[in-house]
Formats: sequence, C-alpha cells, structure tokens
Amino acid sequence: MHSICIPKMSLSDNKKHCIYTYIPIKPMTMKHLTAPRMDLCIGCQLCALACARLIYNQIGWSRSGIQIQNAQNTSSHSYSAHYCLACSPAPCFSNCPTGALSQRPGGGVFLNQDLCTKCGKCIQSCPLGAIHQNTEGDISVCIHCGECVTFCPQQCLEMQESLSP
Amino acid sequence: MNSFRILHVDLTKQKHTIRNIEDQGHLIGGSELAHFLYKRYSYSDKAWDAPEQPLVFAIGPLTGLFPLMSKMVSAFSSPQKTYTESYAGGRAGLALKFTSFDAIVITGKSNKLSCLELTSNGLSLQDMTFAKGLDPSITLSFARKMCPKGAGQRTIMSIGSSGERGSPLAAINVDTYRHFGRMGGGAILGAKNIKVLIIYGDHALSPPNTEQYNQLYRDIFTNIINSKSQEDKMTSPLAGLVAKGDIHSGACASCPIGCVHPGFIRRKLERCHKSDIELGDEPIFWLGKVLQIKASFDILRLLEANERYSFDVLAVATALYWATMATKEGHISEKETIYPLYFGNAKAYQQAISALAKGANSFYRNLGKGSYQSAQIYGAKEYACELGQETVFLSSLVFSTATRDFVWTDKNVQEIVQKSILRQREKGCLNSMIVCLFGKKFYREDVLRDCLDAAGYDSSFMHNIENLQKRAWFNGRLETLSLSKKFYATILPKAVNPQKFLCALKNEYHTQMHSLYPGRKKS
Repeated sequence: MHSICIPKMSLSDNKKHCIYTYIPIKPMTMKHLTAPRMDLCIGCQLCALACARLIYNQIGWSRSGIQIQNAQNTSSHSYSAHYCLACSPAPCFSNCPTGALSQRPGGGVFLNQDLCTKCGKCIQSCPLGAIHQNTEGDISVCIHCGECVTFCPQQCLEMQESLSP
Repeated sequence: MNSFRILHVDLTKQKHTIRNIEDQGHLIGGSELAHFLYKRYSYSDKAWDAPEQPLVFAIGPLTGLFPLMSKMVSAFSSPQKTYTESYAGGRAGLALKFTSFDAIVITGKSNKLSCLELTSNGLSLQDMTFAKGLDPSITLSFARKMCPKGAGQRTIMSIGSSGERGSPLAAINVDTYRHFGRMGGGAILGAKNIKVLIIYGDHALSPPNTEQYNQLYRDIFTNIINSKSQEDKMTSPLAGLVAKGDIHSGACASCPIGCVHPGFIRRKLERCHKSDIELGDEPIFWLGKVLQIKASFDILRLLEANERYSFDVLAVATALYWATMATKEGHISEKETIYPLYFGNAKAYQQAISALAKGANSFYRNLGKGSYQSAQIYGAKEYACELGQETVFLSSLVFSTATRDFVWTDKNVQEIVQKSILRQREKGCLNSMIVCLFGKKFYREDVLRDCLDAAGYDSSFMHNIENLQKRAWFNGRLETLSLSKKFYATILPKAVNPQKFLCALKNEYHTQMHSLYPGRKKS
C-alpha cells in the first residue's frame, strides 16, 4: 500500500485543494487516460473545459490538462488530443526543481500547485508537449482522473488500466 | 451590478481602447449589449459603409459557461440601411470570452486590405493585400501561417470577393463552417478593409459559485446527452449520407450535440478535386426546394460555389429564384443572364454565382445588390424578396401556419399571431443569452434564471426580453415588406388566398403589438 495524492471526484469538493489531498490507494488499480477514437472527435472542446472546471477550478481551455487542436494546424476538421501519456518514470518529474510534480503510480505525475514556481522546466522536458502553460504562467497537466471522459459526447476518450509498476 | 469589458478598435487611427460599462439598468449582455453599443457608436446620418459606422461583436452573459452557449452576435447597419443582428457559432463565442472581453466594436477603415488579430496579449494589424479576391479556404491557409498560435481554439473569420465588392449578399465565414449570413455582414467587414479577423483568447476565468455551478452544468449536460437531439441530427435531408459515413460531423465549441450544420463532406466533386463543404438544412432546403435542384451532388456543388465567394446561400438562392422567374416571364433574357437560368439547371446556377461574384455585367452587378433592388429595375417584383429580420418573422408566421401548427381560416388569425408573438418572445429570450437554438428545449426560462444565478448575474432579465421585442417592433417596417410568391406556392395550402392571408396576418400582428407596446405609428 502506497500513500499518493489523487483528486476526489465529489462535486462538492474544492478541486484546487483536492489536487494534493493525500489518500492511500492500491497502485495496481490505477488507470490512465487514452484517446483511442479521435477520428470521432467533433472538436467541441468539452473535455478541456471539464478539466479546467473540475480540476483547476477555472473556466477556459488554456487551463486544462488536455488540449484539443486541429490536426496539423489546418481546417481538415480532424482533431488531435494533447495530454500526458503517463510516462513512468516521467522526465518532467525528474526535471522539476521544486518537487511540485510527483511520480504517479501507473505512470504520469501529480501536481502540487503550492510548490510550483512556474519555471517551465517540466514543459521543456516533456517530449510530447503535453504540459501546458497559460499567459499567467500557470501549469496544467493531465492527472488521469477521468473527468474529461465523462464529458466527451463522442466517446473518443477512455480510461485504461495502467501496467503495474 | 453587471459590468462589461468592451474593446473599441479604431482602424483609421490604428488605436484601440478598453472601456468598462457598468450597470445600464437591466442590461445583461448578448444582443442587448450589441444593440446598446451600436446605438452608442453609430451615425444615423451616414451611409452603411461609411468608415465611422460600427461593426459590433458581442457574446452573452453565459457564453462558455454552459453547454450550447456558444454563439456570437454581430450588430451593424446593413446595406438595406436597417439595424441588423446576425448570429454565428463555431469557436467565435468562446474565443472572445477567453480574451476577457464581452464585446468588440470596430470602427474606421484600414488603409489596405488587412488581417486583424486579437489575442489576450493585444492587437495586430497585418497587410493582406495579396489575398484580394481569394476565396476563404485559401485565405485561411495564409492566415494560419501568419498567426500560428491557438490551432483548434482560435476563431478565424474571413470574407471572399463578394464581401470585398460590398455585395449585400456577402456573408462572413467563421471557422470555415459557420457564417454571419444574413443582411450582408461580409460587406460590412469588406467596407472596413478587413479580410480576416482572428480572435484567440487564453485567459481562464473563475466560476463565481463552484458547487452550484458545477452541479447545474452536469445536470444540463446530462439532459442534452440523454435527449433526442443526438438522434435529431440524423433527421436532416442528408441522413442517408450520414448513415453511409460520407459526412464527418463537427461541432461548435462547447456543444455536445454536433448537429449536421457543421458537417463536412470531403470527396471527389470534380476531377482530382476534394473539398470540405459546410452543410445545413436551410441552405439545402433553399437550393433544393426553391431552385429545384434534385441531385444531391449538384446541391453540394452549388454550396461549394457559394462558399468559394463567401456568399450567403439563402440570399443568393433568393436572387437566382427571382432571376429565373424574371427570365421565365420575359422581363429579362439570356442577353442579361448570360447563362440559361431555369429551375433545376445546376450548372447554369453555378456559373451565375461566379458571374455574381465577379460582377460580370451590369445585370449581375445589380443582382448583387439583391433581388428586391433588381426588381425595381427589371420588373417581376412579385418574385423578389428582401431577406431581413421581419421577413424571417413573416415567413415563419406563414411557414408555421402552413405546416404543423395551425390550419388557417379567417377566424383563427388572432390565435396564430398570438402564438407567434409568444414564440418570438421565447426566441428573443434565447437570443439575448445567445444560446444555440438547438438548446431551446433545455434552456427554459427557469433554467436560464438558475444559470444566471450560478454565474453571478442579476436574473431579472425579463425586462431585457421585453426590450428586445419592443425594439424589433419600433425599428420594424413590417407593413412595407412583402413575401415572394414562392413562399406561398411552396408551403401554403392551395385553398388559401395568399394576398388576403398575408394582409390579415400583418394587420393582426400590428394590432396585437400595438396593444403590447403602444406609441408606434403604422407606416
């Protein structure tokens, strides 16, 4: 049994606080976000808005762990999802100088915003460009909570079992 | 107290100012805010295309906060010299919301054809004279290279050659799949020498009441997802193509429905040519029923031709309908039209759209001003129609009467008009929030009140709705408008006398509106 931080799903909670609430769970049960059916994506951005609203307590697509973009910056109306692919070990965690990012069992990271100095080293170290920073310098990263999956009307997103570490 | 953050861009002086407007009585944003700003910045004694005239883009108080709150309203003085509101979706509403502005007012005129980019960091005006005459799809590929930031989240509006020429039939293309269509929005942007307008917002806002807001959001989202709207989108005339998988659906930002309006068909239309075409029930109805184009790919070709020149499909179809009827009745001939215009001749219509965009001869230059203006010169007035705010209301009156709602007799005109005024009020309520009209069954009055509460607004907005209806009534000129014969021929039962019917409707509408809002004289 490990002690790690995960967000609670209850809507009555203050999400900003819950991002770094420590709760004991079994690592074997961890899941991570996947986007296996992006060909069905209609570009509604509801996943990004759900992440911002429920995890970062903000309204806006810039403050989200998942970003939906036009594929290849064209008008082809096919979309790609940019989110953390749950590396283990995560290079962003290794490069974080303040300990704001902690390794998540099953891959990926958790973010403690109180420790983040907005230095952006995690962004430089992510090979996928999956960590996002808005104009205020705030960092957003997918913590694999699965809230965005609930709000995808096309079922493009899915939570999958992570391999045991 | 409600306050609004307004960005005023003066293109002539190349300067911008930010203004805060606080508590204007019951002003709560949306179309009411757009109208307020239009009144403040417009000049009644100047022409519609004078540089001083404003072009206003505004969003509603709930834009981006709830599902389907995705639209933007534009307000301007139309080439028909009337105050006009036009609505479009795409990513426009949310993009503006996340710049933290509630409205943009554009006045002045750029000294050369330009691309205006608005981001959270500021404004930029870039030369785009090289794009003169180019269609929106090519223009947009240049615009994306010039302003690469925000793919999938920014909104890009553009005009085609029709807008540059100042045609009242010109539309503003939004994100390639939505349009500010009616009343010549494209001509207004063209008059300001703006070929492309890009808005990209990356601000994040704090919800005022997290618990109540999140719960309400989830309830509304669940209602939409569980409703039949998901199936309704398949009832379009293009359901066959959807079923075969030929159509790729799209959605406006913050919309879980993904209706068929932003559907894209990407396939070989001509030799080695593939194209994305925006689909929609109304344009397809207009081309299919009014111009009697039967083959689906002929309709797609005409949609593509309209898209290429950024025309409003409905306005162009109305103009071509008049031209066809005028030819049929001998008012004009092939000498004027160049191509043999008769119903069902898709190829000739395609060529005529091209001629219309280029202003091939004096006839097409006149037709570019609309069928109503052309009919003053060439005749066949009974087939001309000016698409405007009240024309739409009048035609919806006729349409609802002729179809599912009522059976018209001399005795129930009062009931018809009464119900239509109530509907106009409901629609006004949604429009003042700038909700997509697909959301009308989810956003009833009580739900809207809850939403406004959760968002921290004063929810006593009924006054706002009354203002909207009152404004439409006082600015209107219903008595002087006429509907094209085609409206009656298409949808009215044969037993009904069209002229008598229309006259009765207009009189009853005037009587009821006068009793609701006295003080306006019959024109």
